[in-house]
Amino acid sequence: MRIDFSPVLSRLDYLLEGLAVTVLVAVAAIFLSFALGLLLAICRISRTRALRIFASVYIDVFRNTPFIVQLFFLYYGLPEIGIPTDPMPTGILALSLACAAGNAEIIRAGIETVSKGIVDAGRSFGMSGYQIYRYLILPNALRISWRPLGNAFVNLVLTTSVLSTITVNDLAGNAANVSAETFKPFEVYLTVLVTYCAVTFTVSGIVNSIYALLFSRVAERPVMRGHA
Amino acid sequence: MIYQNLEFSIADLYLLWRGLQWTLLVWSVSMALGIGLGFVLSLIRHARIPVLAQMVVVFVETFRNSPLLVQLFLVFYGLPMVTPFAPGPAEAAIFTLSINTAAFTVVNLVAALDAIPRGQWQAASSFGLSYRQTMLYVVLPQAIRTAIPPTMNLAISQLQTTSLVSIIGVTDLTRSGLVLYTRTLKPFIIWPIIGLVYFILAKVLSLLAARVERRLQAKNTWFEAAA
Repeated sequence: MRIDFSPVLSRLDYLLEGLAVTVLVAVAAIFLSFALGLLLAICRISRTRALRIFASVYIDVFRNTPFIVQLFFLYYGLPEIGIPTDPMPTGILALSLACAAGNAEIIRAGIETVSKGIVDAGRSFGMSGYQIYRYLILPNALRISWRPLGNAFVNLVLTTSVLSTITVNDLAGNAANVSAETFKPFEVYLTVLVTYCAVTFTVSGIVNSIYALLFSRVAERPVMRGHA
Repeated sequence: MIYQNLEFSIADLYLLWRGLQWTLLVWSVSMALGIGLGFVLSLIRHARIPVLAQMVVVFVETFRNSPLLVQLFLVFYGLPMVTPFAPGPAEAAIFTLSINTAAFTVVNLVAALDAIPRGQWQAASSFGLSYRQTMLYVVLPQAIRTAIPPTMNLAISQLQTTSLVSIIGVTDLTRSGLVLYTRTLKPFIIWPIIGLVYFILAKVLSLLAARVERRLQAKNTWFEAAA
């Protein structure tokens, strides 16, 4: 059979709607999973034993089970306990919960590279725990964690496609519809594949610009890792 | 009257067992093929063979930056339309996962190959070793050793990814979960069980990987002492 992209072009507006949903879901989940991951990372190294155990169990469970199983659990499970599930909010929730586990590990690794001397110095200046985190630990830790976090965000963007299995009308979901309508699966999925590449390259670009904007200054400060 | 069997039975365990077998089959075959293909592609990329090396880069970037689900759809639904090649669900799943794994393997192995200092190549050539000999006896043994831990991690994380092949109809663990769910409508029993099986598999694999890594470390010590 001949390769013919014109049916894809005629349904371009519909595919672009899907792209908009993908971008929306991805952006929401990136912010949520980052915030949740940060919280989990702090719990993971907290002095309170219960928080530490909770965070490590959470991270272990979410990192070692497939995302699609977590998604089905939430999407089919929540209505059982009386919470109605819309595909999109459930999808964003599941994505955020799953990716938070990975983010937490990355951020924790970053925090562990910050030398204890900095914390001691902060304490001897009379800084509070919050201030030590906000002004000493996090800027340094996030600088170390930022690039691996960027990879995690790219992964998150790719994982949004799985939400199409619970009928979210994202790029992958709409592509399946267009492919069924036009009977041109090869052309449709090839176009969508390249579109996803474009999205992830954009995300990488944004991640790099944020690094340059926020952390190139942090890098100039002395004493970051290791003990003197 | 609509008949629905809402209870679990012993036969359901068999369904899960078959699902587990499919998951392990798809995973192990595609890991073997993918890592093998990735190895060959890494050598092409590292040797900078004109045109071929650039093609490898495009291949790697495309498959690392697009969702596995779309890749599966492209192979399973798309390929039969434009080629005489019409894979069934399992073949399409293994094919796609292998290619996906190969793309990630290339990244690991090329990094490991590039990490071998230039001086070793020069030393080898001053001993009169050919490119092939240098690669076989000097560079690859070290590069493979560095690439093993990330490749093992990749394989462990790909185990979770295999769950997506259920979408194109492979009756793997996730698919059997879906079958049981649609029959019994008990999400709080089924999905935790399915998740637990994946969890145990991942833990066992991680333990094996940790053991291999410890062995590698033990072997590395003479090397580091000499360096």
